[in-house]
Amino acid sequence: MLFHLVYLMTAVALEEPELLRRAVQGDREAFGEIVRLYEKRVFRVARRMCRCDDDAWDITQDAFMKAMNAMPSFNTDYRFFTWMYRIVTNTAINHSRSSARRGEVEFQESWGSEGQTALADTTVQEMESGLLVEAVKKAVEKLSPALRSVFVLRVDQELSYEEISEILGIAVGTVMSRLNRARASVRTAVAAELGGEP
Amino acid sequence: MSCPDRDELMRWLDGELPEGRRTELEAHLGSCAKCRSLIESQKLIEKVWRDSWQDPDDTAFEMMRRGILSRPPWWKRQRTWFAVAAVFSVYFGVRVFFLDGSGTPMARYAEEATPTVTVTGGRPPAEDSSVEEAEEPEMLLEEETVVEQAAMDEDSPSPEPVEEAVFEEEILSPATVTFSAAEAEGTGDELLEVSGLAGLTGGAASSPDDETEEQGYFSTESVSSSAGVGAADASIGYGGGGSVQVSRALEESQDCLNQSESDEIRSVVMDCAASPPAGPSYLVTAVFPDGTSDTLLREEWIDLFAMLDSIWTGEDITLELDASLTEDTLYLRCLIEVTGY
Repeated sequence: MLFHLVYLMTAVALEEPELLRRAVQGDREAFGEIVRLYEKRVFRVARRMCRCDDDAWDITQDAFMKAMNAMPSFNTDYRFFTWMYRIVTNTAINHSRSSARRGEVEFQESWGSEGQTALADTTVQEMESGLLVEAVKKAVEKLSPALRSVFVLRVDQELSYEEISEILGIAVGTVMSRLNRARASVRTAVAAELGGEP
Repeated sequence: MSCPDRDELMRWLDGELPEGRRTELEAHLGSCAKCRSLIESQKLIEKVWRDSWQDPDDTAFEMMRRGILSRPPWWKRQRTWFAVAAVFSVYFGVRVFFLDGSGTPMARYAEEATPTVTVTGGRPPAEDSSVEEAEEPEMLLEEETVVEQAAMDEDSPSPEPVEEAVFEEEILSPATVTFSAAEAEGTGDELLEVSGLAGLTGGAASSPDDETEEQGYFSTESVSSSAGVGAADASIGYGGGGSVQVSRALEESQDCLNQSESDEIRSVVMDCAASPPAGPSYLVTAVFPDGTSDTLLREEWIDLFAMLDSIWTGEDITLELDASLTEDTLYLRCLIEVTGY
């Protein structure tokens, strides 16, 4: 797994500049290679940002289509992955908002700010069970798109505050405050789900 | 050292604390079970969530990639939309009528339009003839139109079946006739006006290929939808808010046009208008998506359609335009086939 990841990252580092240069000039084959290099990461972000696989595929495809259409104007001095993350998170956020307008998503902003020492009484056995996984998934799904995007980029993609700031176009301080609110919300929701003390 | 606030603990967890503060906080964690517990539980939550991920099968990605790359480039889709915009501009906005004595359409045309009339006929009020004499040719004229319409529908069914009912009702109810027109030069005293061509034309269609529907950007749905909106609106005719709805429906298409494409279609229209063919003819007014309009002789429109046909016929998109003339009616039909996406 680790070897595969290192190999992939190395391949990306070596191939990307040339592929990008060709893709910017309209080379579809090159863009296809770029899609291949990034599709799993992009899909993962999309899936973490929405509620079902179908939506995630739509968001991923839509994001790559937007990237393909905008490739002629892409500045190769910038990092492609930052740009791609921005496209997919924006696409996912817009998707969530439109779903919310249709009444498909429930947001629980009130869960946000006052999370306490959640899970204090939750046993290790409970935590290791599937119950915890499901509880966390549900808790993340209930985050607002703005909080979820920060949570996903930090916790799942393990990006730095600076990178998240660049991707979402917000200040680092805003990244930190949103991340703290998101974490507090998740802890509180998980504790409520598992019967622990918030 | 008192317990640090939660935000600081999370920054430490993320490796985002400055060096000096990190050392202090780590010293505190060594002696504070409460803070350690908080950190450990947070790490566990995030780890189980991260580790719960499973990548989908590679074939799913392969299919998605193929779907993305099989889509036409943006400029081709723009051109497609432009074709649709151009066609539906004509499709929605055409009116056929005779010239009055001064060579201009009668002003009361628009004022008297009602939402449901699609075809009307009659003799000019100025004609010195009895009502009985006027009714017979009027009905004959309309019956001919219905026959022609039926023939057209066989080839290209209307996207709005309701249209036919409205059409027949109007034909059978001369009392509802509200449009009028002036005498056409050199064509006698017959009068006819046509508005809202949905009842007279076919709709737009695209490839029934499932793959096209699923993966094509320019999907069957979007084409049909455009046709449906247009047809529904055309049934309203020129009266009321019909043209407003048409404009709104066409706004998205207009957004896809670049300036050179807009200029291209405009210049063709202007060229045609600058050198009209000789002889009496109908005037046809096309309302463009931006609200402007151009009036051409019907022959010019046919030439224009031929030009459009030559431009937008390619291996992926076939735009079939057909304009046929009878003595007193212009029929327009468009068929858009999208294949290979």
